[in-house]
Amino acid sequence: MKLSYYPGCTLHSTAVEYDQSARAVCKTLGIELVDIPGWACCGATSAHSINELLAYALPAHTITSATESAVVAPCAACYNRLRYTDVRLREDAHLRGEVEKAMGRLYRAGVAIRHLLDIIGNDVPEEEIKANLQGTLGGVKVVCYYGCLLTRPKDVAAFDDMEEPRTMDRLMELCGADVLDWPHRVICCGAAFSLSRTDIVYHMTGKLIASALKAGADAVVVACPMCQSNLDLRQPAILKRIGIKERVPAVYFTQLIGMCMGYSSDELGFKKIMVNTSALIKKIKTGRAEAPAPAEG
Amino acid sequence: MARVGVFICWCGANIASTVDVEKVAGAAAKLPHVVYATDYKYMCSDPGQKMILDAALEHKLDGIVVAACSPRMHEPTFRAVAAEAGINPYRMQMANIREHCSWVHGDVDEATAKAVDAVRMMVARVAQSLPLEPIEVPVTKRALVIGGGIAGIQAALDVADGGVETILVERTPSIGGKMAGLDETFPTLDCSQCILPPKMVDAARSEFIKLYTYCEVEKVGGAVGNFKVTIRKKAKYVNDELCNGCGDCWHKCPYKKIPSEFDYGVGNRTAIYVPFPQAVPNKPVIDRETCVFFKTGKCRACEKFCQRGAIDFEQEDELEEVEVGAIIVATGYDLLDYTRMGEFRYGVIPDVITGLQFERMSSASGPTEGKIVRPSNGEEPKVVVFVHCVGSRDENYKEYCSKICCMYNAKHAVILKHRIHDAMAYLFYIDVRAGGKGYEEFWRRACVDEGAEYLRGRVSRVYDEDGKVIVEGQDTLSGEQVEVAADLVVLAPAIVPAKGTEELARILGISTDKDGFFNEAHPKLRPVDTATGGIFLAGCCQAPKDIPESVAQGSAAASKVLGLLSKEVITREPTVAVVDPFICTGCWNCVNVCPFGAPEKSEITMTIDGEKVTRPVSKINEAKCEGCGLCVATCPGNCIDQRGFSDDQVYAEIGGYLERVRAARNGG
Repeated sequence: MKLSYYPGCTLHSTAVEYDQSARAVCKTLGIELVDIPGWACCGATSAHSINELLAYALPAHTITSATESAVVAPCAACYNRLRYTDVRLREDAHLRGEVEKAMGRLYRAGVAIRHLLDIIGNDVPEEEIKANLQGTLGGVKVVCYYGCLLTRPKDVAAFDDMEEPRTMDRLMELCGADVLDWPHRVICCGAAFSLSRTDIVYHMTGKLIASALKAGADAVVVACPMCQSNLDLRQPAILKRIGIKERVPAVYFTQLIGMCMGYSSDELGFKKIMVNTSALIKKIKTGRAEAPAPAEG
Repeated sequence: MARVGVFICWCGANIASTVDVEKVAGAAAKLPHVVYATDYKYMCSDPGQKMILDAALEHKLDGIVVAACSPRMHEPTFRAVAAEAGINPYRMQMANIREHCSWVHGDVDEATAKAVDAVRMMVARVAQSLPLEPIEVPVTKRALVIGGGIAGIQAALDVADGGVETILVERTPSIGGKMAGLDETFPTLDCSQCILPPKMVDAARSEFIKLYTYCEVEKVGGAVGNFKVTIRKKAKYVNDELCNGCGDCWHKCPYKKIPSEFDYGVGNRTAIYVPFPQAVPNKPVIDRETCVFFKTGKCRACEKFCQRGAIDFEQEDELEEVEVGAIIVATGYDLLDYTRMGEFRYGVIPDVITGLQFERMSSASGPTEGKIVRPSNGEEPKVVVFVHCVGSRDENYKEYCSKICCMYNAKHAVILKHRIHDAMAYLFYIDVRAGGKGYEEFWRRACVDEGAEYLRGRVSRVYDEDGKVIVEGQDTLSGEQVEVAADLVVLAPAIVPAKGTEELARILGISTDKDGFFNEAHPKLRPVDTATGGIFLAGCCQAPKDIPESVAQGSAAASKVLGLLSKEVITREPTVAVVDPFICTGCWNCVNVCPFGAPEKSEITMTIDGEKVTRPVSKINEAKCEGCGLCVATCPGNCIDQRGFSDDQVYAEIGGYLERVRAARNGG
């Protein structure tokens, strides 16, 4: 499988560990990731709150620059913006014309836009993932957190049930995790309000972390750098406010799969996570002793 | 030459704003056969009709073309005008210049040219049209009602009241439908159990009503006035004639934990069961799927304890064919599959239930004998959240309003307050829609007098925490996110057509709308008819409705049926197939292809070269022919033609269009 890879800005900055682990897992699964030459920021929240044309032109530029027939985006916000743009430009010829004028070239419609979770969870056969697992999560208790952008709106981002998605749950079970039933899979974390209205993020993310701890989770598994940042960076301050002493790390699904594939926690960027992950790592039976260390990825 | 009059309708601005009607009339006047052409604002109105009548007499017309709307709309109107003017109604043709022209085009010149084409084609056709006489067929004076809910019961009672034998088919073991499971009914709070069972008993006792419970309609043939209906009588494994409904069998049945369909799983039933104590007929059936005897071959407890020897494990489904003149469809509704709406966690949290389950709990004859409890622990709920519009008015599920939920949610809130005085009711709503007699007053009463808390906004998520059901939502009036820690959550899922509606539509040959409800013939003026003659609609199978509306439509359908069946004969369209026996070779292709069994094998005796010869030929039974044209197209010898759609007419129509091509080629 050969895919155009769109890391987006965060995977080059605050979410380097997502980039590292995504590339590692894809390598093991034989998925070739081809960087998109000259990709741009997707515009995220800022662009579509300020300039509609820019909000469509930025993703359109990246999609048009892709060299493969499908683009894979690991970031939920990038994925959402790219999908949204593609849907809108297909149905609105006028808008498409405006965007093409801004880009100075024709929009390349027909490129499939996929999220990394969708690719690994739905395209790669289970047997193939299983065959590549050297270790197991060994009953680590996890809750799967999809966030609000990955499965919604229904007509834009619909690779799983919009209210009760299960793709990540299935992957984690495959890796041997004890996946807890958790009703907050698609609740918003407060997202970009992190900077402008931190109180809202404290409230929303606080509820998520508290309920994950209450459920007894060893980790919150995520597929979005924005969610991860709120759950991770804000966690100490949030929990201090509500008087909870325990902590629960928010890790990327690719990091946990990577551990089971025999990569070291360093190779998967666990050190980048602010909340202490050593207890979690200890519980994972990586199987690395039996298997030869994988080549540098 | 024929003497054809052409009448162009403006249809107000519907046609006239896109089609230059005067120009069309001018062009029509120059066509061969046309002796008069004019236009008018509303041709279907009284002055419009009089205009046609006067012109027909003045110009001695023998054919009429009305260029207006779809013939589905006004063909009967203008045929009647033709008849009044002494012109055979089948020499009146409509050119559809509204749906087929003005409504779908924007350019006036092009639309006008197309309208002229349509008129030219119809004039050519009328010139070739033979006068036809309607076919008269005797009427079977018996009606069929499909569905034994309140709409079907009312329809059957009213038809029976007119002295017409009525067959009431119900697929469950008892009539009564959804209403039989309800508690008190809005807006007067009279209990369903006091107002419905007398009607059920009346239906059972009526000398004119034959109840077919636990039966399904399997096949429908024939046409208005004479339908042939095949009914599947599902095996009950109980001999109805021997059974006296004593109840020994279901009391002795060892399997008592089967979720009751009638109670929506709130209560249980046995494998041999009557759905509820007031069932009509009050005789049990054995559910083959759950009966242990059918699974393992052992048990037969019911048989052992039945003192009348009524249990019959050997029974099999039976098919019975009945003939009826008219059919009323009243198959009701089901709830949208709310289990797939993950945000409500229905099925995961036991204290999340539906409105219908709440009805069974609050009903005095229900499994909890009217006690409202939390299914998780049997305790009395103190905080109850009612969620409106679960899948209704929601672009992800059903766009339409389910109409009855606002009222029944208000009713549930009132009942809750009456039963548990210190309970709190919260209702999440989008709008409160309370159009109906006494309805507005009723929901205001729930809100103001009974203190139900109305929160204008939608629920985003439901989850359980520390034994409570947390409901998250928004209150758009205060702009706040709200969170209610509830003991019980009651959902109001969208109303959808009953399971099997699509299949029944196929059996009956009637259509359904985008949401699967049966289509009425006209949304305003023929809300009870279907587009198929002799088939009528009542209740929720047509659209979501409450009890008064369902009863009203049941009665309306009954009056339609009585009107139809009051005639000794009914006329059928004469547009049937006809065989030319002189060239038919008796190949029987038509016999094999006809879905209605209209072509019959016959013989003709003729004299050839002075010798009498008898040979096989096909003959169309006009009473059975539906005029579909299959045999006409199939006949290899081209010896079948269809009246009203003869080759001559169709070719003339095509020729009329080709005139334009010819004119263009000649530079005209």
